[in-house]
Amino acid sequence: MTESTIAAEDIPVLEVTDLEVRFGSGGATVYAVNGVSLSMRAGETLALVGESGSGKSTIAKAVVGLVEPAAGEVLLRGRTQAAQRVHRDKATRADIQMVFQNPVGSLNPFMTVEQNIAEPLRNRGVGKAERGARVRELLDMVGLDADTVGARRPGQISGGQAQRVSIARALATEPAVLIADEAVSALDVSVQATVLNVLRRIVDQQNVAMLFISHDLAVVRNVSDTVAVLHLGQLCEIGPTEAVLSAPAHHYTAALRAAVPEPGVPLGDPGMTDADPPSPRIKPTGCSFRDRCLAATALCAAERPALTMVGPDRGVACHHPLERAARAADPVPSTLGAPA
Amino acid sequence: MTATASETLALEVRDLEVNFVSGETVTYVLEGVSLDVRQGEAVGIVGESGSGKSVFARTILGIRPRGSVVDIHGSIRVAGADQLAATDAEIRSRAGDLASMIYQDPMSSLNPTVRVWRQIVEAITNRRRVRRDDARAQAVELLRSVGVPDPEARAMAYPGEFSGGMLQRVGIAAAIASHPDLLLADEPTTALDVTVQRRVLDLLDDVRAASGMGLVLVTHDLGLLADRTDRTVVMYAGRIMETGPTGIVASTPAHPYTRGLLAAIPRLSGPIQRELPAIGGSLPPLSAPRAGCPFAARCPVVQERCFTERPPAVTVADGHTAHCWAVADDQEASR
Repeated sequence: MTESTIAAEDIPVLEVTDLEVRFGSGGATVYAVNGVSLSMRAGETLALVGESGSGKSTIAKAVVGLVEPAAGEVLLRGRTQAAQRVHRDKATRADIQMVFQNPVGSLNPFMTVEQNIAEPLRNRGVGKAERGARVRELLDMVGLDADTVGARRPGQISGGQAQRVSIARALATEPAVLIADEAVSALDVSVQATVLNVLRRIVDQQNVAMLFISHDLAVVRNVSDTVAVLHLGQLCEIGPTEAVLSAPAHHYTAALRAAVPEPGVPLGDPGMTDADPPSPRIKPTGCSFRDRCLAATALCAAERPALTMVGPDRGVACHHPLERAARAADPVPSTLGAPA
Repeated sequence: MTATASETLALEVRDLEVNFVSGETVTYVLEGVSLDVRQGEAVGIVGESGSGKSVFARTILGIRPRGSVVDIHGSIRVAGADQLAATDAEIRSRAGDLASMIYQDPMSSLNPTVRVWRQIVEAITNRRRVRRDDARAQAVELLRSVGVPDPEARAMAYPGEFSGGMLQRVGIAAAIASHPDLLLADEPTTALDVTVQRRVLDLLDDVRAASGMGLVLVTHDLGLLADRTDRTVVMYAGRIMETGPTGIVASTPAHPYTRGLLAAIPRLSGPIQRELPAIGGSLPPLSAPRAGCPFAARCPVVQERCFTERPPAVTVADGHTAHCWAVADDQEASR
């Protein structure tokens, strides 16, 4: 990770190209991911957001090699990777690590905190003395004291501490890519803040690329550099997080943003119809959001909108994107210049 | 919050203490909680895990955990009727009549092998003999009233045939079937997507406005209460920390815990926070009664007496109360 030649920096650490994932077959096929391309650089956090069924976790599984894509490729530092994890070499497996939603359930309950973190090191043949030192270092990285929590078991520490332990374990193999799949969703807000701060610091200091999967737009805003908005396995919009969230170009992004309740802030216009998202069992045609979209036309049913660049690093897949002027008229009321 | 003498409160809880006794170990879950809910009023109870908010809701309804003895002190009245003096049989026989509950996961609170119409009218058909056709017609009407499209056909479906949001509407229909005086909703939208959450909360607003029942909305999400409840109650480690009008608690919280909680919530508006202000430390053990203030060990404005003396209820403004020594000092100084 420390080899910082300019050429190496230019190659994305992780790329996903035209990814398609299906589950089942025949009439029971679920079209989970339908042609998604993503690219990540070292030290960058890419957030995947969307509702349940948007395909965000499936993309993560394809990256790790836990599901086999129907089409598309996963590339690590420009090299195409085998679809299945078992067919990937040891170094590649170590390079992509994952943190899950349930921290206690993802640790071995019979091992101490130290043993849990040391296990991936032992698997790589790291000697005992070195392991001990490295475990201390890893615990320090996530803000935990080895003397206090090291000898405890996952059941004896709090949820927030357990999640920091699983982050430390994921970092043990010095991965280039860290995937956090709803890693703070099960935590209380007061604890969530600590874990988010730890993740941010790790991305900055360890120069890893983080794929941050979340349904929570407010969390995503405060943790990611780039955001990709997914709806039923299709990429709606991608771009710098603040630009996308402050002035969405896709109607789905705008609707998703309008639905987030904030303390003391009344909700704005929903910006979408009452329709439920269409079934992922139907082979997608056109734009997947059209039934819920207020701006949909016949074109949206006939033709799938291609991802078009609308600004620097900013892409939107919509036949009738929100104009920049409309986007600037943000639904959040400004307190400045309000008549007394 | 003072009710007129003639008005019967939808809910009246006084000094509720709940301890779970399991063998030798005692868990002190609620330590003296009082709450009034008027008819037609919506009150939000917000708290993190371990705050006792769910146990509070369940105790009101008469649901006790299996496998442990529950030691309850204080009083609970729902629409004037004493809930604690009632026997289990009485509680069961009037289930749904006085108070009913909407649960977090509609998929697991409904029976997957029974058509939804039967489950919606269960609270009615369990007590009275109702003709099958009449019962089904009632269920269809209820489904229509909670906004389920094509209610005649959907009444015949099984829970697994609904989406999460639609199924929570079925849960609401079942909860309001026998016109309860009090509706308790325990994290009713936590399992749902935000876009669906909004519609379910809108429905709860409509149902309350139409029926005039009291609503207690239990949640971990302070943001969700804006515009939805008249008052907010903030709970921590089995105690009420702060009570006040929802808008006031969210904009000018008095208690240090509420302030910390609000600061830790990532925001969609305002400056981006690269370093979120976390609340250090963790919940005190519930295996012993909390001396003084339960938040003392994590509190930024802690004083010595916070560890030993239980803080008084300090009135900050009309209807806005905080249980805190620091707030008490501030009030004293400004007097």
